[in-house]
Amino acid sequence: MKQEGHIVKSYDEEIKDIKNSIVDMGSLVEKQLKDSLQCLKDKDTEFAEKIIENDNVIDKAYNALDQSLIEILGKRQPMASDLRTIFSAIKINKDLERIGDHATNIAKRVAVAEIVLPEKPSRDIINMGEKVNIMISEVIKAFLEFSDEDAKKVWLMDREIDEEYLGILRQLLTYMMEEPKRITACTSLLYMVKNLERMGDYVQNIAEDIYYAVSGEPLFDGSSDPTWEAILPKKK
Amino acid sequence: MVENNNTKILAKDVDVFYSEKQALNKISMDIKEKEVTALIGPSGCGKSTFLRCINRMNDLIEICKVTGSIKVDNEEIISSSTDVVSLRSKIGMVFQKPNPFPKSIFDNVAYGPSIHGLADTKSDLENIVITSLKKAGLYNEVKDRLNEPGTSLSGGQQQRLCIARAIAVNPEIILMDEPCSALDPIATAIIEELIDELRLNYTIIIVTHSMQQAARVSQKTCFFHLGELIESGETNKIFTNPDNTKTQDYITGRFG
Repeated sequence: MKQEGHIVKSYDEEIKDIKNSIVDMGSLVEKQLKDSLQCLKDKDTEFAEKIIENDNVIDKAYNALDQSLIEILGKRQPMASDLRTIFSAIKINKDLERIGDHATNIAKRVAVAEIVLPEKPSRDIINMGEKVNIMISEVIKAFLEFSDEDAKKVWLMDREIDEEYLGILRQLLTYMMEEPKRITACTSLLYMVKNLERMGDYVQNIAEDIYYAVSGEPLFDGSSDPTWEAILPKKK
Repeated sequence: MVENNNTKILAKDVDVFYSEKQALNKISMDIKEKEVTALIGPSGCGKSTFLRCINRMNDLIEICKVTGSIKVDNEEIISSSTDVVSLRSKIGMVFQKPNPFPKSIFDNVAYGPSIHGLADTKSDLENIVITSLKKAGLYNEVKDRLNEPGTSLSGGQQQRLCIARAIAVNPEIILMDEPCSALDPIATAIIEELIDELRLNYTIIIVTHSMQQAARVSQKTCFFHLGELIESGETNKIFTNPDNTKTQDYITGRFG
């Protein structure tokens, strides 16, 4: 939806700055997850420490954007689509910060892992994490494009993440049952896979926020639980 | 909030011309009783013109011609047989600039009830004046100086005096034409609080240039542009998710 600019041009600038900050925040979080997956792959505990420290950078960016958002609310008292955009940005910022925390948690597990993590599930977790990262990047694109349709597509991507989550969970349980010595290591991986699963849910939240900001309607009407079927393309 | 379905004012295809120039084009609107309806839109869009149709104030402008139908309590008021005096006794009006009569505070409020013969005795009249001042939230501030001139009050107090004057004749409808545009934020907040209270007993239509004020005080909002009613509906919906692009552009400050 292409819109005319505001009469007050600095208002346009402020909204543009907010959109850019969301994109920056998204990039920081993507990088955090990418790094966490890399350090899991390399079992690099030194790198893990750096990643953990880097969470401060995300928190700072979160606080700065939060401040800009409260300022624009007070100053401009946005209405209609502007109001929905700012309202969504507040929530998206918070969810991105949370995704950053979950990414950091993966690095934290690597940092304390004194035991050798089993290869196969580690690899699967890295694959799953890469998919989550694609979701993050796609949801930020949907925000930038201000597209409710794209947001919906990202929302649906979480189905695959949930399936992988269950698959890896089963795999880890089997490992643990086969060899109780692996329980500690597998528990670490279990936490990681749960972190990734949660990230997928946060991306879904963001997709819902974008959908509302663009269309003014909730992605779900509240009459039923959010289900895949509710927004899957209708069968012809 | 209880949904009310009682129509107080029903406008249908109202056209207004000032000589050749058309100021309103086929305005149709259903105004519910005991609700606040806000009329918004850029200057010259016709919102005040529409407001003045309701109490036939446009009659005072010679070149102004109103056609179509407006029913108040199901009675046609755009007709040569309409009893304008009785219509106006049903409708109070408050203007942009507080305009108290050059009389005492007491007489400002007593004037209407006196000429409409609403009070039989002096104490009846006193009662009406005091009650009206109380309803307008002004009584406590002026009770010791009722004989001082109305013009000695502050702007916000004068506006509340005008509201007291309007409600003294026991109207059912109050028309407000930018009642706060000459007031400071505190005086504005007091008037807005008053509108909230008055809504329980009166049907209120307010013209305002403040989008935030419309969002705060009204239940229904109507957006006018170039003499047309572009969109009307629940205030909450208009300010979060309007249907029409023009409404959207106007309330977000994209044109004016």
